[in-house]
Amino acid sequence: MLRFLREAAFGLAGWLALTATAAAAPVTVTLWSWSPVAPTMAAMAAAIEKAHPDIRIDATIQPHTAYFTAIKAAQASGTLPDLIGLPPGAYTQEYRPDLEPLDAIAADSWGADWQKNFAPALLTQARLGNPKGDTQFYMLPQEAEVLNLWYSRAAFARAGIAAPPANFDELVADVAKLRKAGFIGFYQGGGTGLFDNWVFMQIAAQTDLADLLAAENGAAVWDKPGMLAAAKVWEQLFTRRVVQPGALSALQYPTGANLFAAGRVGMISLGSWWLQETHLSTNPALATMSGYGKFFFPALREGGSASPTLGGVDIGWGITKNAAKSPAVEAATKIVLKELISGAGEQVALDQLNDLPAFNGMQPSAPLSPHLKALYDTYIQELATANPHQIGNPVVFNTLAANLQAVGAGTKTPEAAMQAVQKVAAAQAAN
Amino acid sequence: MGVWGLKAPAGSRGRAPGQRTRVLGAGPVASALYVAPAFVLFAAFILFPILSNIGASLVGAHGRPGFANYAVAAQDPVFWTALENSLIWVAVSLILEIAAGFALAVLIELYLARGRAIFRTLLFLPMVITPSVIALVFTTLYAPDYGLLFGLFNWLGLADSFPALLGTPSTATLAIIVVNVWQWSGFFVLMYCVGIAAIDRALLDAAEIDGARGLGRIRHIIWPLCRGTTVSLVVLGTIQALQQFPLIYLMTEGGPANASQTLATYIFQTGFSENEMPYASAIAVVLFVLALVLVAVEYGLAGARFAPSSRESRDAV
Repeated sequence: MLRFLREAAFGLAGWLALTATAAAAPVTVTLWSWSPVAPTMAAMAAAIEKAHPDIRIDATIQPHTAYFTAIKAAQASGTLPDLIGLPPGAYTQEYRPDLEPLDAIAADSWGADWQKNFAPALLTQARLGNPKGDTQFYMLPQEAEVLNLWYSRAAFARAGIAAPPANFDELVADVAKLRKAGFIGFYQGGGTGLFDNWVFMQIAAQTDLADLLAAENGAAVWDKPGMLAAAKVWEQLFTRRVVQPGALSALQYPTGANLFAAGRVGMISLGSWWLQETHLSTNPALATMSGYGKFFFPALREGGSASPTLGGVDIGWGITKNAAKSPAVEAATKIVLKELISGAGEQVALDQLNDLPAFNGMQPSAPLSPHLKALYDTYIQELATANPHQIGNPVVFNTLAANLQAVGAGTKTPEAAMQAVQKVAAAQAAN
Repeated sequence: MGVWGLKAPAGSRGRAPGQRTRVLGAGPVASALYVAPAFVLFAAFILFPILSNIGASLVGAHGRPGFANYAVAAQDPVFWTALENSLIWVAVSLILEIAAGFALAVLIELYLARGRAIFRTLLFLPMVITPSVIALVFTTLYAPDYGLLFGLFNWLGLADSFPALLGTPSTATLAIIVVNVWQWSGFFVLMYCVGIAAIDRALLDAAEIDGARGLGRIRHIIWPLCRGTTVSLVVLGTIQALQQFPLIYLMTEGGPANASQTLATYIFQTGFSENEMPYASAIAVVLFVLALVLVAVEYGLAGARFAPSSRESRDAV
């Protein structure tokens, strides 16, 4: 009897210990994305876990292409993680059937008037491509970006250039001066379709902003006179030797960004995310951005205005329906989403100046150098009124990039290229 | 003899030496059972994906079944560019790899007195380098303004005439094929080395006595006797060229202006970048059929024989 009681006591103790361990075990939230970069994401996850010891984040960051291949396979096999990083538009729409509507979750997190926390352009982009009548959000933005041109102050000084070009003719002249001084005047990673499209869109924002915005939303207006004018300016980037020789085989990342950071390039088309170099480099010119300045694509005519601001969502997050596998995971996923956008996670990303915060009112916790603060504050102001910069349809996106490359290579006229884009856009709009 | 054809140890108990063990017998049922595991794996991992892909390619707009995706491909200029480039890849890669592989193997096996293993290893080395590293190295090598080749042109005073090999539609595909040839030629060399080493020395000696020397010996003796190797390499090279993806994607992403797009990269672009999976499946079916046809033609031209007949061997000498 005594032996039985002793064994029963041991058994009970063991069961209680197991139960206690299970109760104390943190809930794991799985998260996949291509951005922020892995070290930043690891720091963000650590900060969130510190704020919520009952939550563990299993984050997987992969390069852009590998990530989107992986989540497509995961979608097909029903194994999507709880949270997925998403750009707005086509990608979000593709995964919409597997995503939870986020309006109610956002209201729980930030109150009924939660939308006031985001710039209107960001909210518009977050719902880009929703079916007619569907006003739900399936992704919420964490980081935002503004497109612009950057210049190297040191290169400009060596080439005897006092200020960024104010018009297109000055841009051509400055590139020649930079080339003569031994620099790549204007680096264009023309092998990267995204940056071809973005430069073209910055030009088109000057020539025909209304049609550009309509085209981003799927309208077949690529052959309008303003769009054709933009294509002709794009052609001049090659015929007037603005971009470097062989630009169509060059990559913006890593080559262009590395050359720019190394001081070999005078000007390059990047955006607000370039500020992240302040955290990645020990070079004072980069660490404080003192060696770099930004400007918008210069006026196409003398006395005109530079391109209006283009920008919007860089990355947002969607909660997949797999997160509802248990109430504990579902609750933890909602907490992680909030922390990624407006809490400890985003604070870490912002302190590394990974990009601009999508959530209003967030500030870097450490003081910035005066030049860096001026850049950052200007970006925040510009973001508030930025025009969207995403082409919603990926087929149109790829067609535009290929045709811009053909114009750059001289194998197509601007007219033929824009008609080709128009034809594809019209077919896509009809589907 | 044991179950697997091994001799039983002397003095072991059991069947008499030479007696076969028939576990399942030799009838049609037993044959089917022997084949079944391999067939199940083949069906699960080869047959099912192929059939599934064909099925996916027949899903048209709004889920309607039909051949709409194939009709779209017929009207799609990028598809035709990709198809043309795939054929260029097969033809140019094979010609260069076989020429370089055979020539180097002959040099190593017949004319090199020492250091054969070192040369074989050095030539094979590119095969073990990951394509991403190769792509990065050659992209930098080709780069205008700061690349090694540009430096050479600059040194010669020809900087202004340096061609942007990857940035020009007419040269992009060939520039990548050269990289592929550089990477794969070592494999061809190795295979030909094995082929040449397997040739009966007596045949070579007899040929020499009969007056076959130098190029004549290579052309009339060694080349015909390496036909089995050549047929294998043609088939392997065809499949490799058709499947090539990483070098193209990493060096040009199929550009500029889709000029270096192949069927393999176009499948990826349409399926994963443009979310047009049924269309990508249709292109994949075309690639599959193309591979089958090319390999069938190659076998047909080779007479479906890997090795020369004994008569051809005799004729060779």
